Amino acid sequence: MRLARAALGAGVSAAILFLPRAGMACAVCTAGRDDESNAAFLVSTIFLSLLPLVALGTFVYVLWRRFQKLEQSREGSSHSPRLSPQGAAAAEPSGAGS
Amino acid sequence: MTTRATSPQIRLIAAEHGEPKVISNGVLGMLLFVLTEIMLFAGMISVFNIVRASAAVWPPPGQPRLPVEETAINTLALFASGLCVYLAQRRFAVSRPSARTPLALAIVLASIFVVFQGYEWVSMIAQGLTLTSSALGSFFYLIVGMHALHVVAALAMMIQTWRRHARGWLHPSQLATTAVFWYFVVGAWPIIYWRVYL
Amino acid sequence: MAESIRVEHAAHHDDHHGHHEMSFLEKYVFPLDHKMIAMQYMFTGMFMALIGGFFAYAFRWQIAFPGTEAPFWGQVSPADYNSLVTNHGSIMIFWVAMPVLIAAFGNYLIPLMIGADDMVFPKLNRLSYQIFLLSALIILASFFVEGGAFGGAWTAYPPLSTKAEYSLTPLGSTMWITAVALEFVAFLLGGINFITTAMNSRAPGMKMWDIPMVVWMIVIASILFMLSVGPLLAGGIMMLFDQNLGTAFFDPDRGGDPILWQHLFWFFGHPEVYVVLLPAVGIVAEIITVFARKKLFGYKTVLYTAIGTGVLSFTVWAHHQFIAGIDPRMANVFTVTTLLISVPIAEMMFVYIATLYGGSITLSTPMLWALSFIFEFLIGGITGIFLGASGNDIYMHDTYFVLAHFHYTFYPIAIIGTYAGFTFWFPKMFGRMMNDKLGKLHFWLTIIPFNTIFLPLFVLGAAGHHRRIFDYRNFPELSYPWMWDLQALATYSLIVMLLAQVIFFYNVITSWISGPVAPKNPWNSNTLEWTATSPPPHGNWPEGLPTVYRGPYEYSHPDRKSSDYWPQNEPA
Repeated sequence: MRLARAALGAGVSAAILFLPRAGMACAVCTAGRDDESNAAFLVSTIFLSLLPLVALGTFVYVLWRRFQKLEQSREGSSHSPRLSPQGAAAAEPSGAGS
Repeated sequence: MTTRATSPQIRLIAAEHGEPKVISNGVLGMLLFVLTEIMLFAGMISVFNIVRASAAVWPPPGQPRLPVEETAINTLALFASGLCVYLAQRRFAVSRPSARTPLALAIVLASIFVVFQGYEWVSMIAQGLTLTSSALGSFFYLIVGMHALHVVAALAMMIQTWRRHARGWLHPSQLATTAVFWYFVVGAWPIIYWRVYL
Repeated sequence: MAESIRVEHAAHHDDHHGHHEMSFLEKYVFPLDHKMIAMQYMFTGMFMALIGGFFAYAFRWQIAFPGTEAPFWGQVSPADYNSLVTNHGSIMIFWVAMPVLIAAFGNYLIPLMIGADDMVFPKLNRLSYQIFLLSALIILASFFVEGGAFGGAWTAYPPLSTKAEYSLTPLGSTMWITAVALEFVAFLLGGINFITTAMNSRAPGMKMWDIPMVVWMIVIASILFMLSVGPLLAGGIMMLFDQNLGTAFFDPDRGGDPILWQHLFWFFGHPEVYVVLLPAVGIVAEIITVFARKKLFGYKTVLYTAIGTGVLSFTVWAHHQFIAGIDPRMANVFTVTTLLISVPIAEMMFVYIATLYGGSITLSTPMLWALSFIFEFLIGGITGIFLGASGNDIYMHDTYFVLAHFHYTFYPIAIIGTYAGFTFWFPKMFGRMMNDKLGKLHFWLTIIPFNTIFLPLFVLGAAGHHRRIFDYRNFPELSYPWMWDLQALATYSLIVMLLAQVIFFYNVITSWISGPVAPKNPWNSNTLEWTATSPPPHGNWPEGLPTVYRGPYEYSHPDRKSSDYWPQNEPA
């Protein structure tokens, strides 16, 4: 069952990626484009799509690490002046400086 | 604590009562700005890649070669400047006055970078590479010029930081804010060098 | 450490609101107070909306009754038509939706809802509005320069936008791109401010899940904006160079590529849709919980779907270029991502409907707007699925179907969302209650014509009516009499809708002057802004900032016997 599903997934992905080759014949699709330019478009598209997600992911991860360190050092210190009435502060990402 | 809190800075005082922030306002704001800047340069470099890949002949014929080796040496000056800012931050945390020398050195090294870039531009123009002479020229002046603009802005920020430091007003988060921007400008350069010069 | 911080404070002492009496200029023209800056954004946005609406009237007249003179405008020439259409789009998105939904509501609500006295960078905030105002003045001034305003559509595709010999607006195109770029810089400053404030200045006790949904949404929208605007700024600089310095970034004759602009534009342009959608969705969340007296059905679900929308929104932009010659493999992938992005949005709408289910609903004016948002936006979203499929889009592209689709998304966002928020927070903003009867009359006279404008356009689009035709009399073989009737219906509806806005402005002005004085919390709402006086004074809570004890949507809580709401700042 799982294998069948994987095979289906692979089949659909392959169809998405390779079947449109036939679409190259269509008049408005990449007419007169050479392969190198096409590849550059593809690479740039992937790069630009992923870059903001990677950049933001890194940013949030760093903040989260700093937050966790801060929580740890706070637990280590004698007074825990967290004003929150809702019990111990949960380790939430970017629950920054409330 | 605050009967009436008037300014965000007062909340920094609150910080000493045990509510430290994960990140200061200035550094957070600057990091967000840097995210935008990363996308700005990513956009320009992506476009340049596509134009370069689509061109029949690259580099465009009849255009001078970009000064790869000289710029590599200049790149070292920029790196050294970034390192100096890092040293300044480390020293500032230990003893404030000792951050003065590395900060000044960073400003000098950054100025060397800018002056050399300007010199390079003048010689490139003399050799016939202008904004309109070819796609290479357009992108060279666009991307490198945008970076140079950032270096100059960062330089102004560093001089301002240095002056604050000299007067004893410098707050660690202000130094960190300037440093974040400078690290971005320094860090973006190798990628630009790789994509544009090489 | 402590010493330096004090020094820092002293250095900034004059930075911020002291308690001295402020002059008129300080208070209304160059304010640092977030509420006043919000009002500046709000009224500038509304003024621009009137202009954009008037433009729509002029060119709709030309479409339905070509060759006749539009009252109050005159004969619409082809050049007029182009610049009217272009600037209607640009103004409505960049100078109405963005400033009102993000800047005005963001500035007003974020500090009040998270219990802060102001933004963390008040001067940056003021600068943001000033740059924005400058950009608005530039776009308006472009109508009065030689050649007139830019007429190459709000997407400004080259070569029409870069070559003066094609566009015939040498100054207009440059002013357009300059204004747009300045506007982006303004929102960049605003976005930095919003995110930093929401993260670093929250009231004590307010944790992640205690933040009201609208604040989350504006923050996520600001992040989306900041991550997507860079490539378009790059493109804008390149376009300015192409127009004025003779470079050839987008000129295929000299080694450039015009398609590149389309990528750069839509890389921003598509996330932009979600940038304006999310705040509107957040406003609706606040309103339906208050007027259904129910907890938001899935707080975290809404939040996660918003984040999911944000993540996906970076991977859908090329669905605008299905017929621009992109690689068909890419078109397939973008079809899949485009259809995928409807999932989180649909999820969000389900959550709202589930929130309404079983609530005790009050059909006040803001609630009517919020409910109509859900209803109308669903139509816009569903028709988007038709267009997201690349095979179908080749047929639908550039027809009135596309136009009706994005008006069914943007109108609920920019107009319905704004009216919902404005009528809901009016008592807080001005300290007076609005006239509910007039509000409802205005609602019905706006929402019915809105549907009769754009539903006919779906029909026309599906029949193949092309959206960029100036005068369909030149194509008699493509237009049947029923098509002319539908176009006329749309134009008459538009006129009714525009006239109905008079009721709104009358209502605002009379309520502001002589409406019943608003109490602190007229809607029995939980969130923090309702604990300040109406309108909140400078510094919001002069007696001390509030402390938060619970989430924002504890309506009809079983543990709470005394009332059906439980303000966030009330100790247990």
